[in-house]
Amino acid sequence: MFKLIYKLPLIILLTFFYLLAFSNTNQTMTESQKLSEWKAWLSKYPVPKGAKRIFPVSYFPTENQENQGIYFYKAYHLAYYLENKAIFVSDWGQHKIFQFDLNGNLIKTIGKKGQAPSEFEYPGELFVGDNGLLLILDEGNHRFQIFSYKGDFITSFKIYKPYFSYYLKKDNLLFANNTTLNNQEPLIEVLDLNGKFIKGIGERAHFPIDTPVNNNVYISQDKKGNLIAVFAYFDIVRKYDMNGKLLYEKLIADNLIRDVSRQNKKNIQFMDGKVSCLNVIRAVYSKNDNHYLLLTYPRLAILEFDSEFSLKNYYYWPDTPVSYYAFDFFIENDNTSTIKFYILQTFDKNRLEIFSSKEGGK
Amino acid sequence: MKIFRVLCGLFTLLPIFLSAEKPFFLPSIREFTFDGKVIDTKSLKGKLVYVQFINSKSQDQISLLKNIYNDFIIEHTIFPIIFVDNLNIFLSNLGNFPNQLYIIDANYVTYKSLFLVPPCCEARLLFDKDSKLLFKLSEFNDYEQVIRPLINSRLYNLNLFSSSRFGIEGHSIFEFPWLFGFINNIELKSFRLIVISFHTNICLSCPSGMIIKYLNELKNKANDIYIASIVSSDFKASDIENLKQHLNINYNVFRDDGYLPKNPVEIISKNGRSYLGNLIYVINNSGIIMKIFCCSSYYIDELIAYITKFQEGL
Repeated sequence: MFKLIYKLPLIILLTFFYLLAFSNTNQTMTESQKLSEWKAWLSKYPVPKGAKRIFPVSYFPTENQENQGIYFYKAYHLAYYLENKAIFVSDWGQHKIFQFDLNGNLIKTIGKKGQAPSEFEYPGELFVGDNGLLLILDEGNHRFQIFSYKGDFITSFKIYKPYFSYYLKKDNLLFANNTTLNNQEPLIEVLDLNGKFIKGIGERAHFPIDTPVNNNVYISQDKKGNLIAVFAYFDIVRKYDMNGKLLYEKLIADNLIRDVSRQNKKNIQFMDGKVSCLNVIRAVYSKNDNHYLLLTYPRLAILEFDSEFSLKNYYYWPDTPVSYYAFDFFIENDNTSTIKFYILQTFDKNRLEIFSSKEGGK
Repeated sequence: MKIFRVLCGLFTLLPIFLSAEKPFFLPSIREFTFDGKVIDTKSLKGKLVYVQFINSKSQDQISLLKNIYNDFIIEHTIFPIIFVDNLNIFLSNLGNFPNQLYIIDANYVTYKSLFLVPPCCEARLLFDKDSKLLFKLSEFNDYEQVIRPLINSRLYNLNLFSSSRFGIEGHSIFEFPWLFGFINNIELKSFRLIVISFHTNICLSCPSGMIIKYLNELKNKANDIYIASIVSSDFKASDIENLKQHLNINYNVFRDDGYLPKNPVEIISKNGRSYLGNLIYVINNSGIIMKIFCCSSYYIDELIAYITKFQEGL
């Protein structure tokens, strides 16, 4: 007994050092694991043959603009209005919307924190329809606010569901996908601009493990007005005609998206209101009859698909850092064959970065 | 013998009648502040009067007073009378802004008893523009959660006051016609219980959605319970139609300009939470507010348990 008491401080000291050493190793391991996992993914998912490199051109807000007080705090989403080449960025942290031209010049800001019309509480996704209406999800106030593309307030309506994505069509119909466990709800709800439910489109897919995000889809539209629904966590894409008829359901032909989808089918978890799964498709953008998927891990890549969702082009940035996040983007072609990719980086910088399909392409 | 028993019974009930709360008014005092200003409470009619007792052992109250100063006193929205037992400690902790405070350092104990503050404790009181006591709080009440919302309630909208959880349980809805006016149209006696929920925002995945889902189920099961939801004035008529459609609500939903403040979120963001959103009032068929439940999921469980017990006759 005496021997044990005598040894006790030594045991405590050793345990302490062991725990200290173990916890430090653990921490270092996590960081290095993160790096080695990233490298492993890079080699496991090489860019396909014929992939095209993209080149960083510029970004905004610039340091100069930041010095003048024009900066993003928590900007996650953007919208692009082709007609007058206006970029709208919602800043969740500053509770306002920025409008820029394609060169990054600030045209105006809309709103401030509040509850009145034209005021926001955590503005999230935003979208400019072909009709020039700017639709902003005012998350904190649980409503959509609708503005003209010039930034004039038009109307608003309350919402009661957690919408994941939406799309505004020319005829002022809003197509929205909401996060829910209820598989009886349609995949896409069609609402008018008063928020009235008009009809549902599509059935929710069934997966081995039920979570509310399983049927989260990015909504887009092709040239004919058909709806494209890209599943956020799985390799599924569907096309519906304007009457809601399913035209096709396909699997996206990309190894990374396919493998992540398989993993999610096995491992997606929903506990205490939180979902744990992998997400590689960050955003979808459609232009003419092409559809683009934004991927940021393990590298920044934009996958271009044709109307039948066959891969046409694979654009990538070989210098993507390990922690590069972006949640929104759009594509602009000038009159030359150069394509410009406008990507809203959210980490480690918060800024809108412009990439070009050609080196030195300004 | 029977008469004797009845008299005994009435005598037993006497303390209840005696203990019924009478309105308390700002006592009439005329006193000098430490820096020579004169306070005559009779001249304070038409002003919101804030009274606080601070003793030398509750120095944390002095820093709290700074909040009240910044939020309410600096813009003359309330008239502050501060009683202190030790002027030196008070002033050394207060800093540079006592000009607009009316600080009385004389007769601390006497004034405490005049304002019905127990000897053990300190207190803060707010009197309305008719000098009637609005609330009396201990020094332990949280500033952000309780004090600021309560003062706000009197500044921005009378009705906000009743939206607070504090102070109106046990009162009759007829004392708050501007809040429960719509209930006048309901034959209270034809229901065993009335459940009214107030919302400034509603979403399915939030506590508000859980409340509405529960009330919907309750409506289907219990015909003897009157259920209604009141939404704030920023809901348009079409928003209410959509709400009923999207959430399949089968009971009454009203929009009340008169009953809820116009810009609750703005008020809350500027002045702190007021427990305005997602309040559920449970009222008996005599119109007495039996219980008020607040917004979090914890309170929803409590609400469900309360109503279940009621239905089971417990």
